[in-house]
Amino acid sequence: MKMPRRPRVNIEPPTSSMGDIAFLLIIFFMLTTTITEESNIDAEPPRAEHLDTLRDSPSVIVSIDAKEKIYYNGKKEDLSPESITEKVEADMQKIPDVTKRQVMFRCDKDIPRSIYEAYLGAISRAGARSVLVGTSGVPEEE
Amino acid sequence: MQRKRLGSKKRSCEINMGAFSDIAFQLIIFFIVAATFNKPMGQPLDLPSATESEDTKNEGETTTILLTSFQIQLSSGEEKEKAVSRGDLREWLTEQHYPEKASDDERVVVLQTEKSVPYSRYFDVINILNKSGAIITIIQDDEEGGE
Repeated sequence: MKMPRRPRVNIEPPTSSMGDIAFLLIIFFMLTTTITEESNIDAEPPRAEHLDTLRDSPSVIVSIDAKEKIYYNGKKEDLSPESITEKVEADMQKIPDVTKRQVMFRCDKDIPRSIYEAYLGAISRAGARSVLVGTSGVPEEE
Repeated sequence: MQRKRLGSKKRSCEINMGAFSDIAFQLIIFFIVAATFNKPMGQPLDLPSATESEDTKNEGETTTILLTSFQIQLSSGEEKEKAVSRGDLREWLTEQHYPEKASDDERVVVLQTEKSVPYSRYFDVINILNKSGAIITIIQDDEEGGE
């Protein structure tokens, strides 16, 4: 006796929503990623042992490159320590939580004290806490 | 005569979306590969926000570290300007047990730096001081841009 053939069942998974999922993933990555404007600054950070990973990224970044040029939030500006104080002060007023008033300080390892300490003092006078950026590793020998 | 109808076959005008997900996933892979995942590392530096320097009280009792380009000098109590290595400094600071001290005054360490000292050296000593639990106070010159 001939058995009646069952109708063929299409077992292909539906892939029409894959594109939507992928684009949702792209949008998620784009929103969660913070693009730093610091990559073009020629500043080699100093090394130290047991540094902490910075979880809360400060909203203001002050950088000093190897040629002693000053950058404010990634933009090269001819700023004196006094003008840094004014700018940081204005930016810090926008942050209501005092504990989050932090400035990321990125400085080349060979900059002399006369420069970096003047800017660290300027940040401090603006009522912000400096967070010194470095890389984890064995520091240079004395 | 019967006229042949043009376009009698129904044409599908839907855009082929089959490759759409492939393009999107290619984009994701590109972003993941091209992005550099770097979490910045660093250390906090709490400096007193005084605009004018105050005269140091109890100079003899306060621990002072003089940082020069070539050496670290430690002054504390009866020890005056004793040259120490990084390791010695770390060991000495650990022995002080700063986090256990009752008052903040006892935890204060004054850091004085020579003008020529590079940032890497300063950063390293700040790191050692931070780890020991000391409260860092820096001495800045009255006149800026001297030398």
